[in-house]
Amino acid sequence: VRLTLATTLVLQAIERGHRYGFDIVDVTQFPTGTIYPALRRLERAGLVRSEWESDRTAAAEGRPARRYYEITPRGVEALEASLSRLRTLRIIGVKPKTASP
Amino acid sequence: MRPQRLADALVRLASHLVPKWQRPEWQREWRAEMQHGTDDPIGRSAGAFADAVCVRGQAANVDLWLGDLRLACRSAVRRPAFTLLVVLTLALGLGSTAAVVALIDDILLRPLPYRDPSRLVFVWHTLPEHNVFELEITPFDYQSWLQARSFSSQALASPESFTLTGGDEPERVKGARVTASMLPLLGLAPQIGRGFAPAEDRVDAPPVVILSDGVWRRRFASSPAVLGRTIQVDGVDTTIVGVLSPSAALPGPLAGSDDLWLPMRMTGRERHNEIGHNYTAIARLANGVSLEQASAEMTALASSIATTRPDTHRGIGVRLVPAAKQTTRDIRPALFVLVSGVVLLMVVASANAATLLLARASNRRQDLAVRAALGADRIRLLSLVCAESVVLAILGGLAAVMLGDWILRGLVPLFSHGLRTTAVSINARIATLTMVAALLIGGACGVVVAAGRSTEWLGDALRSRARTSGSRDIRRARNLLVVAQVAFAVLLLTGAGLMVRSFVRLAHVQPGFATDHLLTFRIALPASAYPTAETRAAFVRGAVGRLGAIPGVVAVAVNTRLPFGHSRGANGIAIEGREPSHEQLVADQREVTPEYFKALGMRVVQGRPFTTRDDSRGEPVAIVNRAMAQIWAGRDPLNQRVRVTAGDESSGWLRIVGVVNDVRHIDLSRSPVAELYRPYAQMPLDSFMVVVRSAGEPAAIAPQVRSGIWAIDRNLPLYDTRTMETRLAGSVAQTRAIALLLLVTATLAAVLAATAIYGSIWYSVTQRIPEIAIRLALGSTRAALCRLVVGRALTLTALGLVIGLGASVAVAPLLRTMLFETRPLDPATYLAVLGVLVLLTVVASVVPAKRAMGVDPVVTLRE
Repeated sequence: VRLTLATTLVLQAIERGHRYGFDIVDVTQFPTGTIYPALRRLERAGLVRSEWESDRTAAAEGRPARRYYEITPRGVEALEASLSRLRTLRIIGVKPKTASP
Repeated sequence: MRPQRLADALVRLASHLVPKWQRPEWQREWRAEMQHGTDDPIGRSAGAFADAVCVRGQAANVDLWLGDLRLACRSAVRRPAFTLLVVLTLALGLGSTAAVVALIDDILLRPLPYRDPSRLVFVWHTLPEHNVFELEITPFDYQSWLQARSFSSQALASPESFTLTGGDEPERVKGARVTASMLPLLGLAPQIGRGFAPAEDRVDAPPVVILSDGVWRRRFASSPAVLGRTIQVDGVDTTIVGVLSPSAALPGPLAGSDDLWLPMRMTGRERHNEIGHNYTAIARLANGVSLEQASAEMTALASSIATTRPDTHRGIGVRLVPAAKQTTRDIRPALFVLVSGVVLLMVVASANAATLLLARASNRRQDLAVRAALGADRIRLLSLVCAESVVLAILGGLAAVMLGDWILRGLVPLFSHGLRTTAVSINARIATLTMVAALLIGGACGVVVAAGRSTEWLGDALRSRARTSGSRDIRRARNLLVVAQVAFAVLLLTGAGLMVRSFVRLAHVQPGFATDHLLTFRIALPASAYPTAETRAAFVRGAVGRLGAIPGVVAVAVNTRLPFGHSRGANGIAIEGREPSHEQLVADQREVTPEYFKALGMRVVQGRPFTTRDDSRGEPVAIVNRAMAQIWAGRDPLNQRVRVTAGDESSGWLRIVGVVNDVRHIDLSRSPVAELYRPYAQMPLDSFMVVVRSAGEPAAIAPQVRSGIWAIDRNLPLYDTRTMETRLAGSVAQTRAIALLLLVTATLAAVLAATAIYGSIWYSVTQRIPEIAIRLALGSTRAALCRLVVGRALTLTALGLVIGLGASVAVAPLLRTMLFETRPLDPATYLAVLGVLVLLTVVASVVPAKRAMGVDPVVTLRE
């Protein structure tokens, strides 16, 4: 899967322990319309996997059970590759477009 | 409306975009998220639409495929006959394969249930001069071999039958006397109690016994308090010291002697017995020692013993056989035939299923072409065609698993000797493999059809009935499959034909006595109650008299070794007036009561039968069979004298008083050997078979016979009670089973091949209807058309026949060891197979030929 900046950030948020949709929305400040499709694509590509929180834990906190996302080993590799690409971009930079004579 | 409620409503609205089957989970996630608490619930819920659209997009392909599957299911239901045919064909091929794989898994692949079983070997004596390569050893050899460095441990076993008394009914059980080293050597431990101590191998140790799990459950209701209790084994008080685990059993030829184990308890004299070859030796190879190294050491040891003990060990060698090989050896040939037959049947069945699926696919050509014309890409077409094959394959796979379990239940009794476990079943692994195989066959057919020339179908198929390149591909594939099926069917039919011919020849062999109306059973007199020859002879006299008085009993007799009783009693023989030669004379010795020859319907061809006067006080006499009478080469054997020279029972000179006809004792396939009959009263052994000839059904008098024996001694068990015909059937059971299995698989393969021929010719006729119409219009006769159709079918069969017969000629010699008086290249069998196939082909092409002849050229050409 092609990791865009947003997708990379979503993956990084999950890797750093933000495990459900709105938590990732809060930390990345991206809209839900970006986060959720990114999550679907990442899961379909096998870079993250999801599982339902146990009903007992959720009930103890007085809320419905959440769907938790977790990064897979392949996801970790993809994240590292994407971050490294982004860092390179930052170092090299992009030259401003010059006006033609 | 409050923002939170509005947000919830928006999520609900968005959920309608999500495919139905994913909707509950999607809603559950969003509902949980909306509880997170946020300042902008409406803004957050707006993302639900983007998410729903994304999920729908992802599911679109799955949806399409599910739609294809639904369509395929409906199509399968709409054509029940076609569905049933494919499912049954797959079930037949894969089910029988699954059953055989389960058998092989248990018999050949599962390791023996012992510690490091690959290091266990059987150690046999050999007598190469007499073509004997597996002879039991003597206790003297065992003691001598203990010095061998190639083995880390050795053990001895002697299978025996024992009588358990003290309960409601006396019970005869099969067990073994084993050395104390046996349990640790095999790596077995009793589930309760202990094994034997080395001191218990000596006769002066208190008698102890280890019970099998079965006896423990049956006679002692699994009571742990059984340890230390005393039971009577052959009338001797014996203390129970342990109970074996349920799976504990002796390996190889010792299997089945597991009801109870007793220690060897040998006297000093018995430990040095050099002539009693009655013990089976098992050893464990020492670490780092190979089978070849151990064999070399043992051969050197054997030749050293042969030099120092020439009287008893001249010409005796040693042979080591790995325990796993020894255990499966007897069953391998039958298993080989079974596996070959079933694999061939699977190939034929799979090819047949493929033929049917290809036929179905060719019928869908137009449908596929239209879809292609409307823009369906190759993947879509593949999905469509594969879905139908996959649905049928799944059904076929499920049916195969069920049918396989059923077939397995029928096969297990035929292979019970080699099975490691009593509960062989189609386990999850084999069921999964069966399903995968079914899916592969289904998938492969789909791929062949869709990936072939799908784009070329577009123009071709839309031209209605024209013969096209796409149809040509399928037709070629079908013809190839038909030829393959015929070839494999020929291979199976030839094997089956040879085995059936062999079995028929075997069944017509005369055993040398009348097998009907005979009830037989064994009695073993315990030494404690019948310690002397006189007491044993008196018991037999009394029993014969009492049983003879039962209404409906025609004759009663006793023989120590009955025909088809798995015991030969071969002994060395010396002839009076003849120098002992290098070639040892051997005869099978049996002790019989006077009525024996009459009871079995044997003929005394010379001299006289035994009488009641041939007892311990009379002159020692013997009767020989015709085969043994040949020893005197034309001279009259009567009044010649012979002596038994080897074995436990050496005799004085015996005068020959009669000659009887030959009997096939071991089994019907073995030619009669030299036999020496002696009067039971002069050699009253403690274990013997009783034969009762009845006027009516022999099994019906069994209860009265049992009561008759128990009226004399209530503690005597009658065991191995069977009619002689059952024994006879048992001796040919393996040949019959193999013949039957091959016949069934071959018949199925032939029927499948015939249906394939029928399908192929029918398809071909349907395709060629316009051509047939033109031929008719141009003056071709209907008889010529019939010849055209049948000729085409015969061409396919002829190709298959040539390949199949060639393969049969190549592999038939492998059956040689299982054939009786039948050559592997038996011309009659090959001709019969040829005839059957040609007949089947003609029958299979009759209906298509009638269809071709029924074509109306006017109607067809107008269309």
